[in-house]
Amino acid sequence: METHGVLSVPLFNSLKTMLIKSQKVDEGVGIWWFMSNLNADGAEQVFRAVDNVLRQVIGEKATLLVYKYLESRFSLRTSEFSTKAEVLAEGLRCFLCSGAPLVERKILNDLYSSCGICNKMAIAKAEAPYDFASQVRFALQNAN
Amino acid sequence: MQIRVIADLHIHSRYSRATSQQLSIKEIARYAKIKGLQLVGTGDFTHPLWLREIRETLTSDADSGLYKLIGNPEVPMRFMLTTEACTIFNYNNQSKKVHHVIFTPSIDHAVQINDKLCKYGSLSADGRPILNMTAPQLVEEVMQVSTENMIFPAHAWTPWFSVFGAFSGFDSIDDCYQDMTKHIYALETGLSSDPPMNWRLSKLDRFTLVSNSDSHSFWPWRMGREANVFELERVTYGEVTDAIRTKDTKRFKFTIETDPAYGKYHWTGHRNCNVSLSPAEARKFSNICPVCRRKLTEGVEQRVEDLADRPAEFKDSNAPGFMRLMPLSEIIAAVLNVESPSTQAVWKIYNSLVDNFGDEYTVLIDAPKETLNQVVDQPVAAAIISVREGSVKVVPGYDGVYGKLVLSPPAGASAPNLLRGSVQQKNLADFW
Ligand SMILES: [Zn+2]
Repeated sequence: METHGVLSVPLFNSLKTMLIKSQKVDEGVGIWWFMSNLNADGAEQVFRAVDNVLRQVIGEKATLLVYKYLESRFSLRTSEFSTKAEVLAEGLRCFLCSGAPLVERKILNDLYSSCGICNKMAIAKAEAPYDFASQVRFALQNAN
Repeated sequence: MQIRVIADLHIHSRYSRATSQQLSIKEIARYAKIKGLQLVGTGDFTHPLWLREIRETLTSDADSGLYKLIGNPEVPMRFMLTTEACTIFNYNNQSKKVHHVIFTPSIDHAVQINDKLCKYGSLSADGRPILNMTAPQLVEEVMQVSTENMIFPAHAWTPWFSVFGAFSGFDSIDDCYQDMTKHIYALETGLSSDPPMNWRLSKLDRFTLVSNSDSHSFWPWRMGREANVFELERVTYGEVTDAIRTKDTKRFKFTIETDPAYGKYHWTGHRNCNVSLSPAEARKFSNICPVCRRKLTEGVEQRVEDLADRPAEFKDSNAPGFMRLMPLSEIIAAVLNVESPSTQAVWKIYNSLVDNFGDEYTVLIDAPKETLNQVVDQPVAAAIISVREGSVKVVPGYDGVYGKLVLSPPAGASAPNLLRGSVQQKNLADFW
């Protein structure tokens, strides 16, 4: 099936349509609006990693839709991604379904490099089954 | 006069994931009656559309804190308002996902609970909402509405989503609920564990063990497969919850349990690798799958052994008793050697038994052998009696695969008749 990033094209297009039709999403809202909710270093690093990857994989509009979804379904704000990584992981899984593990990996890779951590070392420390939230915490705790 | 009440207090509506779309209040009442239940949980009162259906189809049963069908006196089924919620939170740098069962005595109480919980996640997205809050926060919010409400951990041992789960659980109830443990009086054993397994942990002595089906359909091989049996003077919310809270064996008589091996997570294993191991075998492999070399899904029996401080034979003499049964449809399917309990041949025998004896529990628990023989063929009657007497075996379930019922071989036969499913599980010997 034709895909746009990890999403199938029909799903991606329907997300786009939903976003544009949605009265809740102001198209003029920029990334600074989400950034304004951030304070601690960890919060900003995790948010940046998530934001970079989502924009790259599903595009800017769908990324904003993901943030709205996380807030309405899980009461999770972008400023809480670092402290509530398990809720973020659950939200990504619910939204992206089978595409979530790939997105999680990409987010962790981005986060590892921003924290100056070698991926393999972090993965070796990971408990099986693979746990996104513990990896996020590991990265923040071992940031160089 | 004491009234016997068989109650299944944890089921789901069609608004929960992976449930039948026919799952309505009326269908639940119809099949609960066939099963022999007198009291059933509504499930999912947190979901706005399901709560609307509850309001439209049920009416308060004389201020008992329970509900009954509007204008349908021929189905004398009582309902208790119940729901299940999932909390996701971080504890000591570990991700925790724990499911909890909540009881409440009125629709007004349910609305107040929903008003509080909607701040932690969407209640309309799933009949079993996922809440961005800790377990103690959930208890605090529910108890703030009313101390008549009851909350306790659901299917306490399943590897994922439970208080003692091997993957995202705790080693004690106190670690999970912190200062709110004082409001926790019960623990749902789940299909894969039974009372004797739980009695092995002295720290669980103060909790009452309850058993429910957690059913996602109204079919009688799901709903009521586990249940609680009370003998009450008045059938009220207060009587039921008080009997549970006080672990009162005069009122809370016993639980109906499937063999714990029937549960989908009894043994340790890997479904995709066809590997199923007893706790001792799994330990020999250090819980690593001999096929794919990944960590095995730790089963409930192994997890109980990890935390137990008493031998397997220990009996809690202050606890309600228990009775091991299997769903009648499963027993018939095993005798007929068919894969599914939903086939017409199974239904035909099932209906003839229920028509003769009134409901499924009466067939399973009370029907005399001689009378059973007059209604159905001898192998079916013999299998029902074998289950009642506990002389059947179950090949343990593992990593999401249900256990399989094994009936005793007929006289003169050499091998047991392995029924339902032909997948051969591998065991330790296959890897040496
Ligand atoms: Zn494996």
